[in-house]
Amino acid sequence: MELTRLMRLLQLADSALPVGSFAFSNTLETAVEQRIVEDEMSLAIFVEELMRQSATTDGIAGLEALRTTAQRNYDALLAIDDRLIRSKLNDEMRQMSRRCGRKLAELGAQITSDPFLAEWLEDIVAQRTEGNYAVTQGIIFSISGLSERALFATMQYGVMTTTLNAALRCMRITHLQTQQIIRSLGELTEQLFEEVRELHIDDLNSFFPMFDTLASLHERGKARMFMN
Amino acid sequence: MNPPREVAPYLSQRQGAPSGSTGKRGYLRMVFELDAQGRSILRDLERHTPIVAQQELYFDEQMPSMPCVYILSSGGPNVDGDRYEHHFTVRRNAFAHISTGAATKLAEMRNDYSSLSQHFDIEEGAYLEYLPEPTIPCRHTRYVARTRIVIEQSATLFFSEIYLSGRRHMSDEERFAYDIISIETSAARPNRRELFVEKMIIEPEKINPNSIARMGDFELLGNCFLIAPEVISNAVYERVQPFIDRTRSLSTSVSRLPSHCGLTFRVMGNDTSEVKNQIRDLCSIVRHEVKGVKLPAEFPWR
Repeated sequence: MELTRLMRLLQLADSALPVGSFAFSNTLETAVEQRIVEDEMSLAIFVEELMRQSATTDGIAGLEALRTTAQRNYDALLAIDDRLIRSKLNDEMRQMSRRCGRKLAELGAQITSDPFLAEWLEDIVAQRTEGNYAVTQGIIFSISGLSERALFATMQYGVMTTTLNAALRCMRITHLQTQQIIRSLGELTEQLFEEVRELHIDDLNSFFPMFDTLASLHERGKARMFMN
Repeated sequence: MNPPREVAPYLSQRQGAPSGSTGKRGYLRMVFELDAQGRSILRDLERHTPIVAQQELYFDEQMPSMPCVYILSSGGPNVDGDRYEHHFTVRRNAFAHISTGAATKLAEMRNDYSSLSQHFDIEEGAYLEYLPEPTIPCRHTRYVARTRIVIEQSATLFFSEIYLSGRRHMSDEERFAYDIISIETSAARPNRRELFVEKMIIEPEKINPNSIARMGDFELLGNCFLIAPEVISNAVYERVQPFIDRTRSLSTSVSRLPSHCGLTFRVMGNDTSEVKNQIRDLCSIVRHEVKGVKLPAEFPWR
């Protein structure tokens, strides 16, 4: 990979990218409260399952968005965005996806000056489309000349860092332990990419009833450290 | 229905009768509507073997004017190549309750899969409770369920389904021993505006259904949807408190569906009657909000 593109990738994958994902925990705090996650081992399983869920939902949609942007097929992009939000059956998950998506679209329109992205942001602001985070990531990666693999790895890395940063704040775990988890689970990404790379938007699927239950508890819970 | 992508690895030359033969393509169509006196009746019934629908009965003590129908299958468990279809229509302002007479058993499958395709058409102001008995997969079952709901904004549907991990009392080894269960549920307005779509693929060989993110220590999954006017779903949402109760081995969640079209509930547990009762309690809240009365106590033999 040439260095300019590598620098763009590092920028977009940075957990400090100001899209607001730091405010979300992917329901980890409820899992800790319910004693479903108690230690490093259960935290690693929790994060691994989030990566699997992300692969077959946002992952498929993000990859489709990247391909569609490369073809400059705007109508197909709107259809992907609509399909993705209708498959998110929890209000907070939809909220997180919309909020981070809009922030990323604003940031992307500012730093790239790409007309395709500007139209996307305009449609989000006018509420003509939802502006999911994964779809907006797909658009930005496409116009930045970054590959499907780079996008998928960034999405997976984002799930890990968002959740593990939250873990540092809501359970007994050290920075070294969370870095160990990132290192180990990184090896899973290749396999997940192979599993979903040829799937299409109609193949979105998710079987995580306990995540759904934790999200529901979180939505109704009184104690909140994070927005999600 | 063409075989979905996820069951393709399980397909091979079928040994039994081909799909579409008598007894392999169960079909049921039921249409409920109000008659001239304003009574809700089962106006049309069409069925192909092995599906049997009992005559509508008016046994619900809280809603004695509501037709209640039990669906049965005369052919034993679903086997390789079975393709069943249900079409339910509830016309304007009519109301009905549909269940099954017993659990749906899914046999071992070696060359193909069995499927159930359901279509609900719920018109203005109509009300339908769909509370079938559980579905029980066994070793090497492959099952595809597709549910398509078309519903008017003013109508209400409470839809539920329960999946067991296997024939739980037969042997310890038949827990999540099936090959694949693929469930897709989607809804739209009559003008084709899509509301939501959910797809779950459970392949126990590839994933661990008992992982902490999936079913934890639970073995039964109840999957329910309420599609209703927003004022109804808001009222129901306020009355349902999600919980995970390890003492009772039971959990319930409630979430708002996209497009403000209703709610989704997940009920997990280890005891069939506890899960069924919990789902009946949810349906009772819905009925109370829509019709002003609750569900009666379940018959003791059910």
